[in-house]
Amino acid sequence: MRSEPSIEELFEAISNYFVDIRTIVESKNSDNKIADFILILREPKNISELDLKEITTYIDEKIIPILNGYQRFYAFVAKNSLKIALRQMYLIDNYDELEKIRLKKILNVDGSLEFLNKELCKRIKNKEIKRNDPKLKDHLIRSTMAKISIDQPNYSGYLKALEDQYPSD
Amino acid sequence: MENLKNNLFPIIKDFFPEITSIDKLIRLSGGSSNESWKISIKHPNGIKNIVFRRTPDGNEKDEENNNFVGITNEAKIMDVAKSYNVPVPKIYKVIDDKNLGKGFFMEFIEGETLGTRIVNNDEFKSIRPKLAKVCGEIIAHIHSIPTDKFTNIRTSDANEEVLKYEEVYRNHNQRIPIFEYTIDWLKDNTPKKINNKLIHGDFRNGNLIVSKDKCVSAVLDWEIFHLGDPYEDLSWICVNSWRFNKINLPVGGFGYREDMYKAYEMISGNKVDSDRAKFWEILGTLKWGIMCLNMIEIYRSGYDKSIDRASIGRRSSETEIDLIRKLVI
Repeated sequence: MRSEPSIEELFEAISNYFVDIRTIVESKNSDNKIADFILILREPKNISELDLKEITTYIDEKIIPILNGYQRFYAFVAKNSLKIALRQMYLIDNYDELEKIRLKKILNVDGSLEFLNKELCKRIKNKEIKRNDPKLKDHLIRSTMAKISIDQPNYSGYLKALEDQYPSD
Repeated sequence: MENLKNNLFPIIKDFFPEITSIDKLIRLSGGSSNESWKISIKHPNGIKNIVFRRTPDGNEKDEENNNFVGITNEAKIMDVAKSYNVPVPKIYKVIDDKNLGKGFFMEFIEGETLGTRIVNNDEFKSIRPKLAKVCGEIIAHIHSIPTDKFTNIRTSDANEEVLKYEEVYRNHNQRIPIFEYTIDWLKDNTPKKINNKLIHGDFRNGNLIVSKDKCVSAVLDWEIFHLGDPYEDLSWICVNSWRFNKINLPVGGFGYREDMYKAYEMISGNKVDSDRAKFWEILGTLKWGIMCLNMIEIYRSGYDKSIDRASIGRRSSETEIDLIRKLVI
């Protein structure tokens, strides 16, 4: 199950942030990189892993040291969002595939991942599937573990789940 | 900024006649909720700091959101709470000004509000073990405020809170199976109604000013106070997202439930029911997850296009794993 906002939306938000800080960054750095990055982030389909790594390094080396207050805080948020995007690009296809296999088995129907998740939600809501169903529980654990491993892998609740060896893909 | 200073000066002079100029103006917080400014005032004997709080940009539109009590009521509850032994900043003046909008001025209290520093920094090491007890006492004092002190504030008990957040979730386009599972569990396990109390509504680590000498010097952010189930306040501070990675210290990442409950029971005379508290902690976890989803909608609406607003959506997953730990395992 894909988290929201999408990585395209995260790229858009980072590019908006870069527009806000562009004048300050260009006044302190002699390169024109930030203008290039704004263009790259606005074409999400063409973004490569290498681009994301380059932008992350630039935030670390050229942006964080020159900013204060909330603009500096947003630099950390932007960096974290780029890391989420990188993890998603690496991991999501495999997670999606395994999630779909499980959902098809539980629901006995076929369709897109979005459709299958909506169908599962409908059946939980209508009590057509019991909350203590072992297959349902296993699925919820695995898909949630997958999601948080992309979104917040340092979160205490996830670290505890790893320590307690929850099933995961 | 200069314009804001010019507008503030004559109003501050009303309640602080010694003012000679405004030295500094620093924005403390803001966004979709009310904004706060720290104002350093010059006077013949030195500098005095105060806080100015107002609706975003002096605008009134957020008060229409049914969760917010309106900034005038926010000042009023703080004034009332003070007389019931709740530590809060003193209110100096409430305004409805054509240039500044609606807001109020209050005492500036020194201390730490950032949750992560409160649970980690060495300077708070000696007071951390006392904080859960102090929170229990403060919550009991809040719940001792007579409910008839306010008219026209919203009432929301367990059942209404579940239905309200279910509606917010269903208005979002994403379907999240563990949220669906939790809503179903909450509906099957809703506790019986008990007497409503006046509830702070956002009592958690992050809304407390903590200092070494006074433990909790003040409780902030009263903008969603309401009448409701007292367990809402006792459990919200235990939601894992407010423990700042100190998962084994359920009360705000600094203490234990038993210490908080004992102190609460001593003052309120009411025994804490741990099953009821568990229900509210699960509901609190779900609520924060749904609020994270809602941040995405605020970002998409264009009201706030910041990276911070957008990325909070990805924190919904934190509550999802917490709900797995609490309900599925």
